[in-house]
Amino acid sequence: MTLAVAYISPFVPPEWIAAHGLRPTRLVPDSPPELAPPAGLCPFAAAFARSASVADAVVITTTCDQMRRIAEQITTDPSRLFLMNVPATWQIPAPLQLYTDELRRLARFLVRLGGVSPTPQHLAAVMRHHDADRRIVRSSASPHNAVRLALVGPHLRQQDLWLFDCITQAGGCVALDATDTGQRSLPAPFNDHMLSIDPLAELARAYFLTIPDAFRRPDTLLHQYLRQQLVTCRIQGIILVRYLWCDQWHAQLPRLKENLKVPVVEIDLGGQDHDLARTRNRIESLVGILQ
Amino acid sequence: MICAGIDGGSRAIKIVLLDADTQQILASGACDQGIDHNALAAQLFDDLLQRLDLPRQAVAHIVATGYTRNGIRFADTTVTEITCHAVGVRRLMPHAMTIIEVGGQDSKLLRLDTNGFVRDFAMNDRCAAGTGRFLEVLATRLNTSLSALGDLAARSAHPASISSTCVVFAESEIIGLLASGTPCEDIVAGVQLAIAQRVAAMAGRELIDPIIFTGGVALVPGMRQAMEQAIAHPVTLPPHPQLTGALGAAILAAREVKVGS
Amino acid sequence: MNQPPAQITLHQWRQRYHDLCAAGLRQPPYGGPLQRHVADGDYRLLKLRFDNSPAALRLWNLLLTEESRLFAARDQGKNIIGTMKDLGTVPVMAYSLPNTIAFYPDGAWWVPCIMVKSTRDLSIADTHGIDESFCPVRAMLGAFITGQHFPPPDLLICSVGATCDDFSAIAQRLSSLGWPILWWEIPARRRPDPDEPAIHLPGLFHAPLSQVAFVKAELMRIRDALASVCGHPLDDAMLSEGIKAANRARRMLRQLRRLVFTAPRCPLPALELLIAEMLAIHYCSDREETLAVYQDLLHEVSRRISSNQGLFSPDAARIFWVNPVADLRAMNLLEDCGGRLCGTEFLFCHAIDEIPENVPPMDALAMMALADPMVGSASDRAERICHDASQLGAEAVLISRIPGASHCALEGGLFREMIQKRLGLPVLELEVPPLCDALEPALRTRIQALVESVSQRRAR
Repeated sequence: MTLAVAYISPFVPPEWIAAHGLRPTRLVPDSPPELAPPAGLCPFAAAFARSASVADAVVITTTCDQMRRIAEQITTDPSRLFLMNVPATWQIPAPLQLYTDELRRLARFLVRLGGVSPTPQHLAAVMRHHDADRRIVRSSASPHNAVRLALVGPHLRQQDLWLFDCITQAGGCVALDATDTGQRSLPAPFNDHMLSIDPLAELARAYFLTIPDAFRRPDTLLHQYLRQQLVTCRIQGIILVRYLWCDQWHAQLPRLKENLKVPVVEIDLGGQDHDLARTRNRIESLVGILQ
Repeated sequence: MICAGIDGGSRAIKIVLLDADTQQILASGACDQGIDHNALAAQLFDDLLQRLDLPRQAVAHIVATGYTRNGIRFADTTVTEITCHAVGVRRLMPHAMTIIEVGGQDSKLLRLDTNGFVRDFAMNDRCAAGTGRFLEVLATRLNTSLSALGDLAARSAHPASISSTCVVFAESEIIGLLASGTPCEDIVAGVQLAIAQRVAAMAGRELIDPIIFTGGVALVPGMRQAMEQAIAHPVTLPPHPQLTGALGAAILAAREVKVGS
Repeated sequence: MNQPPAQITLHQWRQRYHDLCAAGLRQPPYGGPLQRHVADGDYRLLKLRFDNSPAALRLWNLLLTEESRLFAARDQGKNIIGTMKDLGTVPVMAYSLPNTIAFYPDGAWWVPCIMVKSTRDLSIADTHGIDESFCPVRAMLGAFITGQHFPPPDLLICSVGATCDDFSAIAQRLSSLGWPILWWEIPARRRPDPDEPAIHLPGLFHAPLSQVAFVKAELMRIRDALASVCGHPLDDAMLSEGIKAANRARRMLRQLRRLVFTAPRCPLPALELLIAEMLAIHYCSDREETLAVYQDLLHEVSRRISSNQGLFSPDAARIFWVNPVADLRAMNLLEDCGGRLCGTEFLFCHAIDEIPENVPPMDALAMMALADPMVGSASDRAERICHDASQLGAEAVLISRIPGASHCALEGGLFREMIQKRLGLPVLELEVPPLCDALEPALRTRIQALVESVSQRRAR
């Protein structure tokens, strides 16, 4: 059985793990509803810690302070846990170089786990395969007669995926999934020419430079992306999802309202699962004003 | 033709009966919320009809709104309180551009366009520290009534600073302030300001006048002044601020009937 | 001039100041009676208790006149650099340039406390979407918008990456409101792999050489930006001098801390020590005056120790304090409850440790930046806390949580576990908001309980 390497961040390229002969497993954390994390602890980070503690190996990134710190709660065994430095800055060459170096460092971790360093040709082939799968995901359509909404925010826990049904039941549709588990988190298609010359460099470029996110400094890529997608996907309103104590996404609320000029509703998800009625009310209210 | 709007809020049920042809309010009433939302709403509904000596069949259409709207089974349709408050306030104050509604357990901010439609809104339905609940806790702790809070606040020269974001911990703060000898009036003024400031935080920077302050908390003396201080804009109270949601629901009921016919 | 050491109120300082002046007190240009600051809006001073020495007077006056000093610097045509988040490294570079000062906009986090929320900095932050779920440093946003506390800097520099999320979000919000920021990356410090070239950093930590090289390159960018804004090149010779000057201040502060923490009777209250440590970050916009203040404090503390004078009971519980407090009053509470400071880790020990002078200056500064306790793991930080607490004979540890700060949710538990396992000391964690008056009974109860547990352990 191939060793599974669990990860969560869109900045961890699964093809890099797969090219080393290991099985990339993207976690969708779950947590028992009766367990509420302590005050100040992001419920997502808490759920991730519980889910990841049983994984063979885990890759966590530094894109979120709480996730960076939760790494120590998962395990102190360096052979099982890899904390990947993903720079927040991006506008000059040095952060991209740092990211590429981190991919190389990750490769050494994967080899220690039993993986095998891929040849450039094998890496390119694996990358093409993943790229083709992503093209299918990008082209999925949404219903025509529902209120077209964008869902913006971080990863979602397993027990929060009901949001999508809630939106549908309220008469809306998620025309743009700009969460960390949706279209926003997909890297741009690979440049085939660069794939042939230097697949690692192309992998780093696509992942590091083309995925917009709230943790970036500056975060202009995120807002450029959303402005473009608002038009492309004919978005009428935005649901900003965030977990309690998540500062990065909470701080986006006023920016989204200022920059995008469509109604924005924030939904905050807590450690307990009594959010259903409140959330449904907010979603129905948003759909109601847009219908 | 008579239509009804039922606002099943988290703390109180409000009902407005409206003459759909003349748009006059025929009757209105409120009762405390309880366990069986449907039964309580039905009882209030029947009481109002009895006042007008009318049977249920006289009511052509019923729209329910509010937090418990889906539990009011005898309503014909439901509409969110966001839309209903906008409609109700605009009927009473035709030039309203911003609505701040603070109820017993939640608060809302609505931004309207020039046609009266809601173009954006924000809600606080998680944190009781920005709602009427905080005032209830305060009144209980000070052994006074909500209606007496305004006089107390008016006498304050230095409103106390309330740090807690949670009304449970804020109650501990109130006890602490009392124990340290802080005058009651400063505590009341501090709490009212804290509620208003939380609403102001929800409101953000873009506030377009006229701003209408509605909901049950608007009726508490001192809150209008606290709100004006917090948002640095004048606010106006509509007549019957508690009923704007139910009124909006009744108006929408009348519209739905007209469209249907 | 010298009275027995005591903590006195602002009202008592009125008479004390009169007596000191009558005895010939010499003051710097920013000197004067403390109560004048209340007229400027620093109402919190009415609730604090202060050390009664002339050295403490100078310290407080230096702190409370920073705003006017910054505006005066603007009028004098000085270059003003706003250095955010890195807590101590970039100011060393800025002060190496002529006609240039650096200040720490994050320091506005104390404005709501000192001015008792009279300036609306927090409510302004609220209206810009940065509400109380964020750390009190959000007052900085209000401070920039009102422009009341400091002039717009000529250059704003902010570290991101392995920094706390709330500060990063607040800084981004500031940038979105029109303040251009030079962002620089500080990577998460990690333990070197076994086969990786590594280096010892000041303050117990290690890091891979590759990380030092990366940070050095980032600081080179900052150097170029500073030189460009200030119209003057910043070469290694200048930086070396700047590092030497910084180290003079750091040495004095380290000596002060050692004396205060190890003296049998506490010679300086916790509040004054907190302020003194904070000066190390950016010298309160006046490096030379900071040295003078440290000199005076050292002199006073040494005098008190040699004459066996001190404040508080000799039996005061020796408490190691972790994290700074948003309300200065909390430091008075420690001593009210029978404790005394015997050690601190206020999140910026890399601004107190000496910068290496035996390596090229940019390498030295890169090492210091990476030695920031916030940039590494909580375990690393806990190691240092345990080491220092053990060395200084701590009898208990108090961890102050900063409301809304993203790092506080997890690290407290980890610190507690390590401290209890390694040192067997009682640990208290408490949250201190910007104004803690209403919570004072609850805070007192907790701190008193900690002190009582120390007494019981002594008796055992």
